[in-house]
Amino acid sequence: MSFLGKAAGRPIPGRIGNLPSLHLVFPAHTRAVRQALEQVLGALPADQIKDDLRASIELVLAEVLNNIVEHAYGPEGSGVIELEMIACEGGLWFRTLDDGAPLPELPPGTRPDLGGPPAKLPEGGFGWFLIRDLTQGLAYRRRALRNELHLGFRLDGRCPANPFLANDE
Amino acid sequence: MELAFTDHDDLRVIKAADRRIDAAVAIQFKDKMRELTADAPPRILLDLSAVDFLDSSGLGAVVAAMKETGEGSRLELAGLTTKVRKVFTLTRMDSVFTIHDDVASVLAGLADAG
Repeated sequence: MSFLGKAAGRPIPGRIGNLPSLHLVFPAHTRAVRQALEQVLGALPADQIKDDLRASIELVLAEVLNNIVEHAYGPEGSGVIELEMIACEGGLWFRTLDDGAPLPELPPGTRPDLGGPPAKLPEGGFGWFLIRDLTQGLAYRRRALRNELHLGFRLDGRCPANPFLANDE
Repeated sequence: MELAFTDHDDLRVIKAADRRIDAAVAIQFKDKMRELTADAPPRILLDLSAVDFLDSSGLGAVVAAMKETGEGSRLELAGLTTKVRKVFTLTRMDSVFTIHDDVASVLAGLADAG
């Protein structure tokens, strides 16, 4: 699957040097999600973003994007996902946009309980737990029939402000 | 989804050759594991040393594989890379699975016992 389009990065001045912003548009398929993840990691230099944070970002985005593929559009559906990344003061923020089914509410993401017999071990329910555990900012809104999910990662001591809420277009 | 196996008496070592066990391949992984464990070897060691990334779908598939091996079979893991180990630790699945550093140490253990 090839990408439908991609905005060129433009540098954002600030604490994290000149990390470009990113804007990807791709079909809602697991293979395209893999490519999108590669693009994101390629835009995060290892000397500026530590390995552990890169790993968290990769995992959270994988969970979010694959959720959209599976649930927003469903087995019969097809659609497009937009993924934006903005680096700003003390934080790295991502926004996903899709035209799929709405999320009634943000799942609580409690860690699934592993007690009980091995035959009853849970095979699911880990996605939202990982998303909540590894992000320092999380917001959902539905606007004009689109789902928007905002994900924030802290880069230094402060809690980063959500740039996607800053200017409401 | 590439899974190859070698038997050492009662131990079957299954090596996952794919770099990613994620939503794109979780179902294939489960199906392939089911095939390779259908004859119920008593002890199965899943070698994940070539796997660089595993998400919640991949984790669920490994759990499913463990549940499918059934009575009399044990599924253990070896060679977890950093990102994969992180998922097991965060979800506390590292307390549920027996996790070895590598296949070599398990095989050495067999040799000592034999």
